[in-house]
Amino acid sequence: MTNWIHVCTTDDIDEEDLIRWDHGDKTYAIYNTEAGFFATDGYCTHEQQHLEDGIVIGKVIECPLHQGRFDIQSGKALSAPVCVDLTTYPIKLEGEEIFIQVTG
Amino acid sequence: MYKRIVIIGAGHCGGRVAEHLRKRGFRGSISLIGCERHAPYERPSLSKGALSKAALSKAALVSEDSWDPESITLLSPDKLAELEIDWIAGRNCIDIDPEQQEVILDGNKRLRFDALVLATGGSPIKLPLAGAGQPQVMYLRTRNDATAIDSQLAPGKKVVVIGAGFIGLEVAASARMRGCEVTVLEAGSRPLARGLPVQTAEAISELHAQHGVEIRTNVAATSFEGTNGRLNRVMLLDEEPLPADLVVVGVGIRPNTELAHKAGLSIQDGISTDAFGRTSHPAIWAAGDCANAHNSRYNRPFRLESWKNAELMAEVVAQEIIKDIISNLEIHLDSSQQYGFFNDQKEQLKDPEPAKETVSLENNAVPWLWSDQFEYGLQTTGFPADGDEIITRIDGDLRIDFAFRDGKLIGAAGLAPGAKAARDIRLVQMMLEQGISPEPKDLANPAKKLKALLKGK
Ligand SMILES: Cc1cc2nc3c(=O)[nH]c(=O)nc-3n(C[C@H](O)[C@H](O)[C@H](O)COP(=O)(O)OP(=O)(O)OC[C@H]3O[C@@H](n4cnc5c(N)ncnc54)[C@H](O)[C@@H]3O)c2cc1C
Ligand code: FES
Repeated sequence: MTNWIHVCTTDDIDEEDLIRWDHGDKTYAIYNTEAGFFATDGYCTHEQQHLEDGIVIGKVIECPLHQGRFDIQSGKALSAPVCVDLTTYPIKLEGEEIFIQVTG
Repeated sequence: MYKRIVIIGAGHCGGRVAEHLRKRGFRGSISLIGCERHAPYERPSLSKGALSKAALSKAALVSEDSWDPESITLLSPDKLAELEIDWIAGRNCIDIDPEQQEVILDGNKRLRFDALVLATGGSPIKLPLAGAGQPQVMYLRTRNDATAIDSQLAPGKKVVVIGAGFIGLEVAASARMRGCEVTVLEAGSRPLARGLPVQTAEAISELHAQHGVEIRTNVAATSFEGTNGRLNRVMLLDEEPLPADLVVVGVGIRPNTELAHKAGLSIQDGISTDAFGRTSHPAIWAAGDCANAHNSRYNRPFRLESWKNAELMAEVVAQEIIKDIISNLEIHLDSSQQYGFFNDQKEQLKDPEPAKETVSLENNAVPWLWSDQFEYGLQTTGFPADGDEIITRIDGDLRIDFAFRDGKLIGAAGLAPGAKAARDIRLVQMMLEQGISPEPKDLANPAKKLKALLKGK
């Protein structure tokens, strides 16, 4: 089943930044970038490291542990040591409210 | 022409060079020679998870028994086969013939090369002390070393670590997490003198003290005593002997330069290279812990012993070799009678990755490294130990010491639970890359966001 779940409001995420959002037994990263709001898996695909302490540079998230980089919008792994893409999730805005579409 | 590339050292950097060459389209032969039996792997966990058996868990707190030994493999044997990298395992390269462009392996096997990459890393400095040959006096560089140390760790065991550098302190923390009684001996006047300002080092000493690890400075071990081939104490200069079941020595590494020396390459604390990893021989490159690369940003060479440096130099060297191939192609394009050769060359480069931004040591080489001890993560950038003034910023449980020299920001060290220091240290790295040196009073003020200071706000 696919459904839209409320995450937070746009004010909760600074510009060029991200927050961690846990739901069920999963954890996500929700971003506010120059190109809009996005959501990906919370964990880096290299090691078990959450991206929440990483840094957003333009449309790129850099992992805090080894500075591996992903494109936030597509989830594509951009530079070593990461080589597996991040899963991304659709986001929609209703006014100030942010919703994410997750499966299950 | 480049048909055969040989890489000596199948460690982190050597493995990555091979991988980057394939990613960038090289189709000739790649031989990756390593004296270790393990396929290329990353070393940082050897002093952390491999000994403590804990991985950083969700809440950035330590969870027991969650460490996966396979997580450190960089290129598995399957992956090496898939990439058609000829991994020659368990073989030692004993000589290089720079004129014939050949390397010589033990057993006298000779391999020709058109380009050679030295990624030989470093070897632990051995203590020239009596009794140091006993099996319970150990060093840590390889997977096998970590397995040997791991097998000795058990609750109540007396572990003496010699050397309060990053690796020594990480081993101390891991052994403590396994319930050992741990003492660290440092001959110098303070821990971590090479990499950190005294303020950060004190905070780390405090962390160890809280966990029950004693760090003793200005103490010199003189010999190791044992009975029936089993170590039982460490003799100290002017002090009482220290009981010990196990000693782990972490007093630094020496770059492996013997081969480079035999090949007549220029050497100065490591194999000297230009900013692109090329040695004094045009067909030989060096990268990783063994290389002392010129850095135009700092206008001096330096040799770094860090994971990030191994990553970066591998990429730079692979890129330069590919560039050489392309420029050869262009030369031969100009002389029409050489087309046969050109086609041959073209065969070597298929579907290269679309041109990415050029990586160079200048653009990327503001040093950056990390160390994990207990539940804390340390990250540093630049040269935090070389400051003449230290500015400290305390933001909750995040501590950052900024190093200034002659009034200019030159580095920083951040310490916090988990990866919480990462973002600010990355921002400082960007400041250093861009030559930005904020006011000390702003850096000391946790209300001033580093991101804003980076943007000059
Ligand atoms: C225990 C430990 C913890 C670390 N923790 C961190 C950390 O937290 N953060 C960080 O930034 N860095 C850390 N490092 C440093 C980092 O691992 C090194 O900088 C990195 O491994 C360097 O890669 P390299 O390829 O240059 O050398 P290596 O990985 O050492 O590879 C060199 C390889 O070459 C082989 N070799 C050498 N000579 C020959 C020869 N003649 N013939 C055949 N093979 C040869 C060696 O056997 C070795 O396998 C740590 C290192 C260790 C040992
Ligand atoms: S854990 Fe993210 S880059 Fe290594």
